[in-house]
Amino acid sequence: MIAILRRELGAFFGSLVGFGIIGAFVVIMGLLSLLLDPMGGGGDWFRRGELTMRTFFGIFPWVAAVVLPAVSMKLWAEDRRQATFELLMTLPLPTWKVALGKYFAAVAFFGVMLLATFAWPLMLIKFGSPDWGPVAGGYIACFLLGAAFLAVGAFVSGLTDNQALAFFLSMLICLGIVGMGELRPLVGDLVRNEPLAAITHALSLPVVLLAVLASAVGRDRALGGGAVMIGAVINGGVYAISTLDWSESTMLDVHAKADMVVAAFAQASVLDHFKEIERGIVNTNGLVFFASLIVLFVVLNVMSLESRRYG
Amino acid sequence: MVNRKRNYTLYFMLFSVLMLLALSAVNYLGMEYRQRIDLTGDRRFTLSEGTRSLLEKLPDNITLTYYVSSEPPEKRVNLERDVREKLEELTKAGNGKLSYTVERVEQKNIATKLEELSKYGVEVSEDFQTTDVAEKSAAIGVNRYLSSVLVRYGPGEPKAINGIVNVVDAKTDEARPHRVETLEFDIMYTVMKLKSDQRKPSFKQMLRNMSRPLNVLYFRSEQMPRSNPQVGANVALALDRLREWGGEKVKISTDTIAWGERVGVGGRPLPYVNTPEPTVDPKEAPEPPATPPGMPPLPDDRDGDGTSGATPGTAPGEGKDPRKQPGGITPPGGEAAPKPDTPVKPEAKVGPNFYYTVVGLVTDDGRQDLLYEFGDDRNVDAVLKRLEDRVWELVKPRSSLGIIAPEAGGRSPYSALVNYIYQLGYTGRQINLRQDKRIPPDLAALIVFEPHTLAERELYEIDRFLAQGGNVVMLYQGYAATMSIARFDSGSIILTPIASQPHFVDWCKRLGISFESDLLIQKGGYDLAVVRSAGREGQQLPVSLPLAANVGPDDLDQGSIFARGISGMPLPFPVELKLDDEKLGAQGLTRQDVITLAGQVFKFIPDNRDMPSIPRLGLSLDGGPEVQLNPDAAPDVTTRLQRLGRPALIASVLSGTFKSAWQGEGKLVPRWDAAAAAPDTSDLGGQPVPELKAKPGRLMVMSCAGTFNSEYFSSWRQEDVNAILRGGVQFYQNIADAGIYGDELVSLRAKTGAAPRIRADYSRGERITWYVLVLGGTPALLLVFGFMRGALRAKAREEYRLKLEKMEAA
Repeated sequence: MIAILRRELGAFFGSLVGFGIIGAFVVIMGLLSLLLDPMGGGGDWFRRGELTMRTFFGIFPWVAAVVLPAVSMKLWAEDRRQATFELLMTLPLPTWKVALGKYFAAVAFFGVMLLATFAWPLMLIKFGSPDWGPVAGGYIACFLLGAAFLAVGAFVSGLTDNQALAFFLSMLICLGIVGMGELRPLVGDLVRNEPLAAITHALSLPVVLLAVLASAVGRDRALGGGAVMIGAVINGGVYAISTLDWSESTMLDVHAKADMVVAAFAQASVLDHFKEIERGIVNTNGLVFFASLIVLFVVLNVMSLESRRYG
Repeated sequence: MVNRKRNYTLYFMLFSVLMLLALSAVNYLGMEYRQRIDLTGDRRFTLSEGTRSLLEKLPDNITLTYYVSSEPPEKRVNLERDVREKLEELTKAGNGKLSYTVERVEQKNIATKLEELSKYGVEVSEDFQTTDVAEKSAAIGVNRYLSSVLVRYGPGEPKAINGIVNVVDAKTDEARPHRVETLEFDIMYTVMKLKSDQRKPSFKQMLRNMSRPLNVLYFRSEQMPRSNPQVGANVALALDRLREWGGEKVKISTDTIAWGERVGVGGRPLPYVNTPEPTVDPKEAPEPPATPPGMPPLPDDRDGDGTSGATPGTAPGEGKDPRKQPGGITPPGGEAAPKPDTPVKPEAKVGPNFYYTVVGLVTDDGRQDLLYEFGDDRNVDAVLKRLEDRVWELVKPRSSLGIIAPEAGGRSPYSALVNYIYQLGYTGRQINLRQDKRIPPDLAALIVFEPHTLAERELYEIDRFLAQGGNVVMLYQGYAATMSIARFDSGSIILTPIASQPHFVDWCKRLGISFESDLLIQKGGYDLAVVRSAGREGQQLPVSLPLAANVGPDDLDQGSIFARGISGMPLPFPVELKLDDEKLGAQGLTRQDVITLAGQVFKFIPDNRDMPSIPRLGLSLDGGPEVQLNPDAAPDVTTRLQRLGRPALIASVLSGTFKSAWQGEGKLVPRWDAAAAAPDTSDLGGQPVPELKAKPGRLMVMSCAGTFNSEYFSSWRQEDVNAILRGGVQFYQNIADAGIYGDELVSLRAKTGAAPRIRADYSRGERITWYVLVLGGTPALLLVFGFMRGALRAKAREEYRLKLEKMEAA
């Protein structure tokens, strides 16, 4: 595993692409957070007067959702393209060790990317006495989110031999993960107006999504198509059922359960966990959530690679 | 092959579902058994020990209700969650003594909810959407939402904490007093206020136990409203009841205003009540019908003294019985009142559309209140109820602040503070030690203006008060200013140093306290008093001399209760406070710096201690050339203005057990000087110092006293003075609260959530340098690294080529 890790790290730093990604990341983050502040009120950092890295951490999820797929896209797709994939798969190593070696290499590279922003904390020291808690929390949150994005990217990269496709797919998934929290008002509305539909969606959509993933991993179109069809019937049909007359006690019961959907959705909102840790509150549910996301996609990656043995 | 694939896919699905379930379970456990580490420097998101300790000691339960809009503004999307989390934490710390509920209010129902809750003081919150956030006038929209916590403690009315926000935007939210981070303090502070309000006795006991007489002035017109013609008589009867209960402590004078006349008192018109229809003569109002037979009197012991509290002239149970019809008096004899819509006799005299029922309440310590609208009170009990609340506000026991201030011609320039303290609900007791000879021991805090001018004996008394656990605030003033405000010409400010008495200097030195002699001038401070007329237009322009520092958020220790809400407080003519940590440490005293001027501060260094006059254009020194304030000037003897280059300490709180300076063998009590009035034969002057029981006390030292010196702001418009003194008033309220509620409240951090600020004195060059460093530093390093790596590789390739060539040659 260490040998794989070293090989991948060497590949990252052996070409200009690795340095280019780090440089671009630092410049983009610097420009957006220091001079433009698109997530806040705008204006440059000195005018805002706050001795914090709030703007830096505020834009990080969006920048990372775009930049990190560029790191992860080549993890497997490059091997496929250069036909070294088969070589890797025939090494006397279990697949998970190979996958973890590659994944940790990407995470180490991402660590270097974060270290490359060292000038920010130095600037804080220079211009006052910052509160280091939120700064440390912010870096922890960035690291966890980045590691999760890299797991997503590694999984997507393992599905295709086209790097560009891997990049765009990973970027879309990462942006979707970040933006999911923004859907919360919509979910809230749905829960209030159509509680039964909300519960049905909450239970069925993950299963449908999983089936689609499985069909992608196993390249079984029939399964994917079937899952989508069944999902559409269930999720569409629930609106017809909800027009029926329900007793008041049943509706109250349904409403109570639907509130759990909102709670579950809140727990699944990446941005909320990120912001919480970024404020300086490192908490178990945030850590567990990010760890779950990483484990889920790394395992999916391993399983998708395993499936190649049967293809 | 296809079957194998299908099997694997199904296996994958099954495995994934199991893994998803396992991960969901782990996440659920993580949420259920949530643990967290608060990394912030002041542990902003964690309850303080003070709160835990207070919760333990409270005898009654606290109930909190959080009213929150279901759709708060976009940037406050997690408002409910954040507040809920804080309330949850408080609930856990309360061990069953504190419970909370959250009530979500739909946007369309906010108005209805507010109507329901406005009696408790619940208000709507507003977020301004602006193009230029610094200017509310440029607002392009307002988000109205509900975010209030209603605190219930004990049997009294609940109190509301309004406008709680979670996200703090430096530009728009710095001034928000209630934030998620401050909620802990806000709730505990409200509980303590509610706790102290519980002491309200029955009206009868209240009047009996009044420490000072209550004077009641009643003005009533002959005409009364058609809808409630007996209201004037009801009020009179209620006042008779007051006299009966209060005895000699209630003095009532009644004045009847002639039919249709309008009157005034002291040159100001008395307030009257307008009526929609002409008034009538109450004597000609119809006789009220008799009490329906068979209606039993209701038990009535509202006085708590075991006797019936039925009011003379009121039917038994009047005002208590919901069956009783509203309206009218109440004549003696127990007859019921007429209905409000009872038609007035057609021959009744018709009066103007106004009437008077004015009740003035005055206590002899200067508190007063005025009631003039009793139109809805249809019986004596209702009038009494209305009077009870207002009288309680006037006569309730209040914690008092003792104030020792220098006087000139029988008047103190700091007297404005006393009025402000009254308004805050405390008693400000002016103490003249030369006459009173002692400091009352029940003071919440003793505020001493210009302590360096006090006689030795006065200082001795203060020293003993402090050593016995008192709270003392010493406000030093380095310079006295004489303001000359000219109407048609330039005015001037003459500054004169105020000499310190040697015993005061020694006393401070022993503790490790000293005051610098140089005047501090803060860039961006308040311009003081000298005004001039700018010709025919009569404009008054202030001279640009920022002689009063302006306390900003950056200058305050936000973790101190004393700093809470005082941002904007002016500090006229401040000097620097110095503390010797070694000496403080040796005496076991701890310090907490409250105000430190962190912005651009300059020392004004006079050659001699007789400060020159300051004409309108700048600082004139000994008749030399006028010198403009030039903040960027290098230290220069000519300008005598020097950049301080470090934050200037203005106020600090010293806590611990203070050892009296007059303690020890051979120490004698200082004598009053000859000027002290009324020599006292029992005085201990010249005798050995008696023993004292030492207790931990608190001394706040501040190097500027002039905030409430009315002379310094006399040329300002009143509304400007009020606006800036609000911070100053809050400062004294903090001091009072610290004295009343004790160390536990002080230890509750007044966390503001405000981010630390970038120091103000950076130059343009520094700014550009750091922009370049942050943006280009890493890419530059990478470039260097890349070049070095390229060079090394080229070198290695070259060596390898040479090696190959050698091998080939060999």
